[in-house]
Parts: sequence; C-alpha cells; structure tokens
Amino acid sequence: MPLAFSTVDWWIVGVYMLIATVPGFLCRKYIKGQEDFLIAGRSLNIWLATATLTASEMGLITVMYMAEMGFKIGFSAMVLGLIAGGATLFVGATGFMVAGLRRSGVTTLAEYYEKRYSKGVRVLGGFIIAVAGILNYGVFLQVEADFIRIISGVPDMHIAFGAGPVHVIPSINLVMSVLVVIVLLYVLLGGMVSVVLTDYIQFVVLTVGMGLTTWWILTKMPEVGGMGGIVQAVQEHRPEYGFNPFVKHGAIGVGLLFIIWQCMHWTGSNTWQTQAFRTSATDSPRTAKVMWSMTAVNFFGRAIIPMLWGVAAIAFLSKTLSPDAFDQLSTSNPRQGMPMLLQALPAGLVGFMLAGMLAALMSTHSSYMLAWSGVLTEDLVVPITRALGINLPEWSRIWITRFFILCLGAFLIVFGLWFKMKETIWNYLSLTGTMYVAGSTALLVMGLYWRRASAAGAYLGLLFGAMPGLVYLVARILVLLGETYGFSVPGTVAWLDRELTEPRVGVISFPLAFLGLVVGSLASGRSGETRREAPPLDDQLALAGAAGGDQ
Amino acid sequence: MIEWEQVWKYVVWAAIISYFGLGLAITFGGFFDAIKMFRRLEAEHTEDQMANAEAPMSRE
Repeated sequence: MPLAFSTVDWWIVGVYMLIATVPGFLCRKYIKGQEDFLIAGRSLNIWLATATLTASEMGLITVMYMAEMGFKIGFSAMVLGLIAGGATLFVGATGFMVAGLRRSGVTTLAEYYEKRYSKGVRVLGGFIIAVAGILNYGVFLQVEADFIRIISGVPDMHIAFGAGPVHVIPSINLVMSVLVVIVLLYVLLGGMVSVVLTDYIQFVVLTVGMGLTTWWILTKMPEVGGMGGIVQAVQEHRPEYGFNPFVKHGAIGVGLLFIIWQCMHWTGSNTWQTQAFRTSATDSPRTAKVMWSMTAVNFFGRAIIPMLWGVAAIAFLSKTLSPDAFDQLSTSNPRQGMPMLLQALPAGLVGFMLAGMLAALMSTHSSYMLAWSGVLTEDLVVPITRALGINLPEWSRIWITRFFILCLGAFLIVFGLWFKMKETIWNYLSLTGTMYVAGSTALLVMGLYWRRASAAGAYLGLLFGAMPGLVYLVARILVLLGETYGFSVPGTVAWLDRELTEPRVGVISFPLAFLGLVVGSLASGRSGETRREAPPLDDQLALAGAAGGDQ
Repeated sequence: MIEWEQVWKYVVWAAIISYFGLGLAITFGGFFDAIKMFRRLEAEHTEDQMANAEAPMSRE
C-alpha cells in the first residue's frame, strides 16, 4: 500500500511541534508553589477546564484502542461510547462524587483519603493509585509508536562505526524518545499552567485534525463507500455481533458482562487521578459539574469517532487486501487496521492528522506525568516524611515532583518502548484501571455519602478492589512463565487464568470494594464522625441530598 | 425488535455533530478563559513581586 506521507507532512508536524510547545516554556514565571504546579492555582474556568480535560483524556492510545475495538467487533463497540457519555453526564448533572471532591479542597484523591479516613489509608491508597496508574501508563509509548511507524513509514536506521558491524536502530525509538524529552522539559519547567495552555492548543489541533479526517473517510474514499458502504461491510465481515452488542461470536463481541462492568467503570472513572486533578483545578464545585457535563459529550465523541474509523477500516481493507490478509489482520493484529486506513489519506491531510495525534499524545503524557508524580510526592513522600518528623518545605516538594517526572520519563522509554508486552493493550489498560478505580470509587462514594464509613473499612475497600485484578495478573504471569520456561503451573492457577476473564474481573472488583468498605466499617464499630480531622461531612452530606445546592 | 443498523447510524451522526459542535464552542470559550487565567496569574505575580519588594523596607 503506497504511503502518502511526504515532506509537506513533516513540515506540518514540525511547525505544530513549535507552536504547541513554546508557550509552555513561557509559563515558568507563574509557578510559585506546589498548588500552581499541580492544579494551576485552582484558576480554571469552564471552557478551559473542559478543553484541558478532553485533551488530556484523548490520547493517541485512546484513538488506537477505540479504533481497534471498532475494527474487531464493528458497530457494537460503540455501546462503550454510549456508556461513557451517559455515565459522565450523570456525574456532571448531579455532581455525584465530583462536587464533593472539589468542595473538599484536596489536591489529590489520596489526600481526600487522609482527610476522610486516616493517614495510613492515604499511604495505601496513594501506593495503589501510583502502582496501577504507572503500570497503566507504561505501555502507552509502545502502542503510539506502532501508530506513528505505520502512518509515517519511518525506516529503521543503519549505523556503522568505521569498519565495524552495522547496527540497526528502529528510528521510531528515537522519534518517541525525542517526544518524551520535549514533554518532560515543558512539564518540568511549567507544571499545570503550561499543561493547561498546551492542552488548549492541542485540543484545537486535535479537533480540526479529527474533523478533516472523518470528513475525508466518509466522503472521499470510494473503497469505504460512505455510511452505506460501512454498514454493508460490517454485515458481510462482522455478521450479527457487529451490530447487536448483546450477541457474541465465541469470544468475540461485547456481551452483557462487559456492559455492566463498563457502566460501573465509567461512573467511577472521574476518580482516575488525571481526571480528579482537573476537578480539583476548577474554580468552584459548580464549574466542576458543568465541566463534567460538557465532558460527557467529549467522552461520547472520543469513543465513537475513532471507532467509526476502525469500522470504516473494515470496509476499506476488505476491498484493498486479499481475503487471507484481511482475515489474518482481523484475528491477529486488529490494532493495525485503523492506521492502515489512515495511510490512504492525501498528503497534507495525513500530516495534519498526525499533528493532531501528536497533540493527543503530548497532552496525555504531560498530564499523566504530572498526575502520577504528584501522587508519589503528595501521597507517599510527604506523609511518610511527616510521620518521621520532617516537614518538607514547598520548594522541596516541587523538586521532588520534578524528580519523579524525570524518573517516569526514563521508565516510559525503558518499559514502554523497549519492553515488549505480551498482553493486548485493551486487556492491560482495563485491568490496571479497574485495580485502582474500583477501590477509589468505593472510598469516595461511601466517604461522601455514608457517615459510618471508617478507616478500617477503607483499608478493606482498597484491598478488595485491587485483589481480583492482582490475582488475574499473577495467574496470567505464572502461566506465561510456565509456557516460556516449560514448567507446569498448579491446577488452581491454570483454572484462575482460564476463568478470570477481564469482564469477570471488572464485574467482581467493584462490588467487592464496596462490600469490603461496608463490612470493615461495620465491624470496626467506629464512625467517620469520630475523626477530628474529618472534612465538613455535613457539607458533603448536604451535597448528596441537594446536588444543585452549590450553584 | 431493535433496528441496530439505524441505531448506530443515529449514534454516529449524533457523535459527529455534538463532538465537533462543542469543540467549536470550547475553542472560542477556551481562548477567552485562557486570557482570564493569565490576567489572574499575572495580577498575583505582580502582587507577589510588590510584596517581596516591600518586605526588606518594612524590616528597616
């Protein structure tokens, strides 16, 4: 398949990189404390808050796994967009969780754990948040590199020193490493203020790039044949399960269990630290609610539009590839379907689209780096040093956060780029996400709306929420190790690996987290009210009864 | 009986219209919000600089 990526496209990408990154460097003078560094001095109004939340949550990796689902299971995958939009609208319209979190005035979610429960809960929660989040983040570069490699057709580099042997270096490794360095620089220098500004620029570039690409796919590609052609291709190549989300074809398809899991996941996903930061950065609980209501539309669109590209790739590739090659791609590497479709975009547009995707990549990386390094500093280092009688000054906390950002950058390059994952990306992301979100949802919901929730319950809630995912991961790794090194695993481990599918893990995790919290709280016999440092619980309970009361 | 093909067609068009419509609104709204944010941060920055400049004098 001929590549359309040309010199013009490289120029577009280069100019974009300058426009998107330079403003970040100019924001240094506004950073005077950790609050400015992490949450922009709580100064975000509605439009900017929505732009920055959307940009940070719309990564290149999002586009990749959404499109992969569209290519693999057709239109049925779009049920995820309906769930994401519906659940987020519910959160925004009612203020469920987010208004209480913003009103509590915390910077990180684990800080809320301390205010509502105890210091120990904060440390354990911060640990789970950081581990699950960083593991989740660790594979981003790998998937993104795949996309850029296919779209731009960057060749491998062959380097020889003198008459020595020729070393082959995949050029994409260098390109991605350079990207990480640029992201690192502007996050290190500017923090959230620069992230907010670059997020805004990236939001605009991304939206225009996505709009032009969607228009071109639907109207200018005869192989796709518009919406009619796409529907016809799904009827032919993804019969029944490609339209009806309740029908499965063997292991392929959506299914009821997945739908239930995703409903719980999307309702609680506002506790995901990168999103919780955005709630904290708004200028009021009202702005937080409006931001989440508008973000519902964005979450709906960010799922459906890349999925449409994935579904369109079924129509395009079924006509341009041989039947065997198409079947092979569908079963063994569906992730590559969408990038192969986008290869066919004309010169100029493919550059603009890649600039949009780089925008998505950079805003996500900058936001995630800030989020996880912030959690490590504020929720692990600060409480531990405080317990040791050391009170870290503001300037040292900023430098510790910057140190963690640097470590994360190194981790990304080593783990994400050169380490080869055996798991599929969606399985991996959803699993690590659930390990965190199940517990955090239980702690935030019950902390805000149930007076008797206690620290003992919180410990159990966190552990129970993370446990199914952990069991799944351990069983999976043991089985893979057994396959690699030729030893047989115990029957129980093999059974767990077989029976614990991702939707099952997800569906089990959320109720378990709530159950743990309730049982622990009732058994401990201590109510949250007894904590002297507890937040203004009355405010939060009032919020539960009158979600609109903070207008 | 649900006509899934029709449902997904409506869903796709609803997503395109709402996502890009809101995108346009955020582009304009965000521009003015960014100006507001920088005005606020600039004012705080100036106040801090003035406070820092006054501090040694007050000690004298």
